[in-house]
Amino acid sequence: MTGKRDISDNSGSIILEAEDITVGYKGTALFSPACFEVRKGECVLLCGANGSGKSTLLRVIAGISRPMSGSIRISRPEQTVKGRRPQTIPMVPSTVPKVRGFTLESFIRTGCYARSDWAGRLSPETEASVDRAISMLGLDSLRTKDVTSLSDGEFRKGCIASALTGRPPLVLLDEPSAFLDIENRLAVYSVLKDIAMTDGTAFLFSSHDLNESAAICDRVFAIGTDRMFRCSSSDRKEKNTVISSIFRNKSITFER
Amino acid sequence: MAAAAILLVVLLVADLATGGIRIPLREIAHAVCGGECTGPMKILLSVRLPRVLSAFLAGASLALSGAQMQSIFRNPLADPHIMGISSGAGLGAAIATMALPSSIAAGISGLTIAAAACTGAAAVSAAILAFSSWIRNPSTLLICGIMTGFIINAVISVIQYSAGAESLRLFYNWSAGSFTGNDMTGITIMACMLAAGILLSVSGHKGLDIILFGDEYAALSGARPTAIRFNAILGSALMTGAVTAFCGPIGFVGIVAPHIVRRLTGTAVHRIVLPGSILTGGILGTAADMVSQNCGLAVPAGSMMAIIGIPFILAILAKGAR
Repeated sequence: MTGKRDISDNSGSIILEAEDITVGYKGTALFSPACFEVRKGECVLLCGANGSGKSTLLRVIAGISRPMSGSIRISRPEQTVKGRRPQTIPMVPSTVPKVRGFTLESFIRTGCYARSDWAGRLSPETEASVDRAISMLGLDSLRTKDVTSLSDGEFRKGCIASALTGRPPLVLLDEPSAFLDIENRLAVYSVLKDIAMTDGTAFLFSSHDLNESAAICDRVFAIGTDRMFRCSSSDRKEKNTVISSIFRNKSITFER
Repeated sequence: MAAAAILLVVLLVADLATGGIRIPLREIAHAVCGGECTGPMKILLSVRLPRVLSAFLAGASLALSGAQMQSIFRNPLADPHIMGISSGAGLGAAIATMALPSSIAAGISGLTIAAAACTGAAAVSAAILAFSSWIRNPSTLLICGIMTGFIINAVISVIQYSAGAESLRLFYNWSAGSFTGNDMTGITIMACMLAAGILLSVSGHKGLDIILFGDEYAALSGARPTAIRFNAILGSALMTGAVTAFCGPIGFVGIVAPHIVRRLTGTAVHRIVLPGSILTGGILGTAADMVSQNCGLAVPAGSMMAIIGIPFILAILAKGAR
């Protein structure tokens, strides 16, 4: 399974395909060339120790950093609206500051930067996708609240809604549960799982909360301490083995 | 917003109508309607009108710059002078008034000082703009701006140390900040720079919104943080440079006006904050001018701004500390 593509299960259509991707700084690759794919409606956990290159890999897929080598192919959705810039994969960063003076709705509209006109106006279909994203996350009652009055969990959901406004096939999340208490963590993960099941959006997220995130993810990508990039199938045992590869202390194994 | 616009018009007219010599409103109306120019009318046109326009333009420009600086640095205490632009203008003025040989300095007029200050502001702005497209981290950029200001102020002190009494007085007059003594050339330049600043801010307001949520979030949404900062600094440099050259370094309105707007409207969305700041800045500038003209003492408007402005800054600090 190491570095090899897994085609045994999950017959959903492929959204993202990475071929021998490496990331790193100053000519040093952080992990072995990685080959993986993400399919429609999947939740994939990306785990690894601090500094192993999780965030950098996500930034490369999101298109704001360059890979050291390799290529990423994003399959375009069937219907392409003319006059649009090519769709990129949205990413929710691990921390977004809350700014006083923005309602949840105006925050989400601000996030539609690339799709609004010079005055910040949105087209009717973008307008509709904002409404849809807000209700998908169950935030309808909070849309006129100032973002500083929201709890961290609610605001994190708002950030996810902002990423969903473009109706992307895949959303990347950098530690979606960071700084959240256990209840909010579970709430965020269950909402991701729900959206993946009902809407077919795929999620690739990094996390250190292995217990909660392993419970909802379909597959696991792990950057091991040996700097190997491993992908698991949806088999529970295989997921456990792949997750265990990130521990430096080999007497620790992950069981779920 | 409409109420603020009405208040501004009322203040502008009131400021025109008040001053050292009383000019009845009837006479103003008479002259406006095409009557002949009486003595008081000459005062109105050649002294008061330029002063009131200067006050309005300075307030509006500095407030618009301040609103943009606070957003790109995500710092509530940033203001138009924070990037060292006014220090650059000061250095220009200092060289013109004090460092030149006395034979040249004898012919110095207000316009020469303004031209020198303009050059100084432009030079520092160019340096800051170069920094801004090179340095990605906003805090580092802010520190660079402040340090540039310190260096330039140190150079000014060195020049002052060896200057004569007459040139010191000239320099002091400029550095105290004043709306008086501008002719139509200066006012036209300030108005053009304000217009340019408004155009740049119209093209940049969306970017200012998104940059508040962090560079990473902005980049992920398809914006370019460095370009957004460059745009905002360019506009602020043009406006602040012109105002500082012709009115001297005027503080506080740039910090205070955007905060007043955010407090009153309850929003930080720049589509509202930027035009609101222009209005509020204009109101503050005109009000400061009116108070300094009518309080009996010859208080420079720059000092008046500080006296009005400092309590606001303290309130902001106190609120943040709680």
